[in-house]
Amino acid sequence: MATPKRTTRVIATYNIKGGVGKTSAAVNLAHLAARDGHPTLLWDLDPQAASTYLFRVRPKVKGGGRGLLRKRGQAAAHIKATDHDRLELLPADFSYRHLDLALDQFKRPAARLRKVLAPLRGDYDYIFLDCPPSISLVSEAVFEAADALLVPVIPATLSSRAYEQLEELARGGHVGRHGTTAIFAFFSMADVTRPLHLKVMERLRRIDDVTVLGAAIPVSDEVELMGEERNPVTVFAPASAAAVAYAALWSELQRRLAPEG
Amino acid sequence: MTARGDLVTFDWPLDAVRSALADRYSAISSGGAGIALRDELDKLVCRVTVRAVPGDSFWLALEPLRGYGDDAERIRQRLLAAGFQTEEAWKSARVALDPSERADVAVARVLRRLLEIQDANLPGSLADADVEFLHDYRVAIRRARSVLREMRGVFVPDELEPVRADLKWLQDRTSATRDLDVYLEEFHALRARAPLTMRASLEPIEPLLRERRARARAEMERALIGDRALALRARWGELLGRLERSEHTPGPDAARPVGALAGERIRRVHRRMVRMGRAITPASPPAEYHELRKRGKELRYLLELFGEPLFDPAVVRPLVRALKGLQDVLGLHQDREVQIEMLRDLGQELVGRPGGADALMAIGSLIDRLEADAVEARGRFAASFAEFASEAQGKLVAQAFR
Ligand SMILES: Nc1ncnc2c1ncn2[C@@H]1O[C@H](COP(=O)(O)OP(=O)(O)OP(=O)(O)O)[C@@H](O)[C@H]1O
Ligand SMILES: [Mg+2]
Repeated sequence: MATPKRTTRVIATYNIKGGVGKTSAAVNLAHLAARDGHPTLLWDLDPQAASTYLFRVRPKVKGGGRGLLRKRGQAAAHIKATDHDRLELLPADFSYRHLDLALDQFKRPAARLRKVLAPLRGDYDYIFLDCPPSISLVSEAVFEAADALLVPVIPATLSSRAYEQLEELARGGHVGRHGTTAIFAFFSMADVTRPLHLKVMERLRRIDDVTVLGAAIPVSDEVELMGEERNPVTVFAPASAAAVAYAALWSELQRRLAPEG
Repeated sequence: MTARGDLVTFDWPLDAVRSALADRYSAISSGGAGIALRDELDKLVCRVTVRAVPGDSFWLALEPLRGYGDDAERIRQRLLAAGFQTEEAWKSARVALDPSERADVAVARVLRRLLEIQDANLPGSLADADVEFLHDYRVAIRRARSVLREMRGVFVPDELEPVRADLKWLQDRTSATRDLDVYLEEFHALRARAPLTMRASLEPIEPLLRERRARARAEMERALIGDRALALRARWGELLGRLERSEHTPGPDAARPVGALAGERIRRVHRRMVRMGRAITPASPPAEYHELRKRGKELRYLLELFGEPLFDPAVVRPLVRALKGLQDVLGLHQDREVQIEMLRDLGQELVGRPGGADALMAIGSLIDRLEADAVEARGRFAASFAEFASEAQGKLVAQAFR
């Protein structure tokens, strides 16, 4: 009964736009994965360190982003346990704001994050990457490292344009190493009392090339309160509409990422 | 928390822990005997569990969170300064030794430490607070028996043999309970690895194990607080006292330098293991693997108790590592054999019970898998033994331990 080899899934919450709910999703989904019994890692790639803060960890990586990228096996030494069983964090560091430059020193910059993650795959079922809002060398490297991009979309016209941009990238075959990275969108901060939101949601769900997950995360006071509680909503308000929506989102995503069958 | 009459009283040390750490960490009860320590960001950095209370001091187990080793070390230092004892105080049997001191004096110090550990874990073993108490209690006795066997030349047989018999008797009283503790743990692991369709069929096993454990425990508790155990403890403490005061009848090795004696024993046990291991083939019966593993434990104890404090760490450490690799393979092999035996044995008792037939079927297919595991472990034996028994390693051992 040798333990079966792990199939680790790397999930990046990504959007070119800022403030759309990437961090909130990464933190809550990672917590749900760990709660289900999966060893889970969240790497906070954003120098703003929002998810590091939410897990109460000091945003500091000795040697900075450069050091992390350079040596194989370096990352493990910087991982911190969160307060939640099975959920660990690779913290953000202020130096990540120059991660592009650090990546650019390697022969294949876009392959670098995947290489850094490779030795960690044996330890986790899920690895979440919480990305800064940008399109850069870092996002290219994220596309190569991730098995799936999870893209929060606020169902207001302006921000769905951002999603369409990404879709174009995907269609052009530019996402992922062989264009194999799955892209899932979900609605974030959705307000079903607003006709505009409803209309945008309906329209986007009809676009063929876009996989929009069924669960939408509602606008919610609890999600906003995460900053004060410094915990996932799934911890301090597990019965809230937002927590329930994250759970639904997670089970759908998990199903879609499961190996064939 | 009071467990089982007045045998054990855990007075809650939360306030004392809190004030020892007040300037840097907050301490919050996390239920039971647990305390959560948080840093200034209110981040959990270490869990603390109250483990034992010998006399007036609290013995605390620290469980640092990953990435917070520095905090844990700081916390440990503060707690020690505040009069608490932490794990190494009762886990680590190591005492300082000087290679040139008399063997009887050095052996007395090692045995005294082991007796302290044994005593400290008795209340917890009786209270059934955590299976680790009984485990540590047994390891302390096994180590002491091992020291008595390997260093027997320090004693005269008339004084030694009764103590050895006593300690064997004491350890035997605890074996059934420990086995069932392990069975229960293993059963949970086995069930988790069984296919979903089989899990329900395995359900009747757990109550059976629990019944057996309760019976074994009751018997063990009676023995551990019975007259014979008390008299034995007194006799053993008394001999140890005489040994410490050099009032015992010295055996042939008593006045030799401990370094020379320990080195000789380590070389001999190592040589013996190499010889035994070379004779083992994939077709050898499980008993031969088991015998080798027992020798391996003996060597491990010798290395930990005498090798590390007395000899060059650059030699001791790689040897311990190679030995550990070998013991892991042998342990896996034996665990599987033991699990198979346990399942067969349970099967007989399950026959007459409701759900018994299904359980037997499930047991059958589990046994098949476990046998495959045991075969795999045998396959790995050759490589790990080769590392342990390599010529280079042998030369190093021959040179270093003298
Ligand atoms: N469902 C929601 N309901 C209400 N507020 C939300 C919701 N989701 C996120 N927010 C709030 O919106 C802000 C941005 O959210 P979040 O940090 O998750 O987005 P982000 O995409 O990671 O931002 P950034 O691009 O700055 O990293 C936060 O203040 C957060 O509390
Ligand atoms: Mg963010």
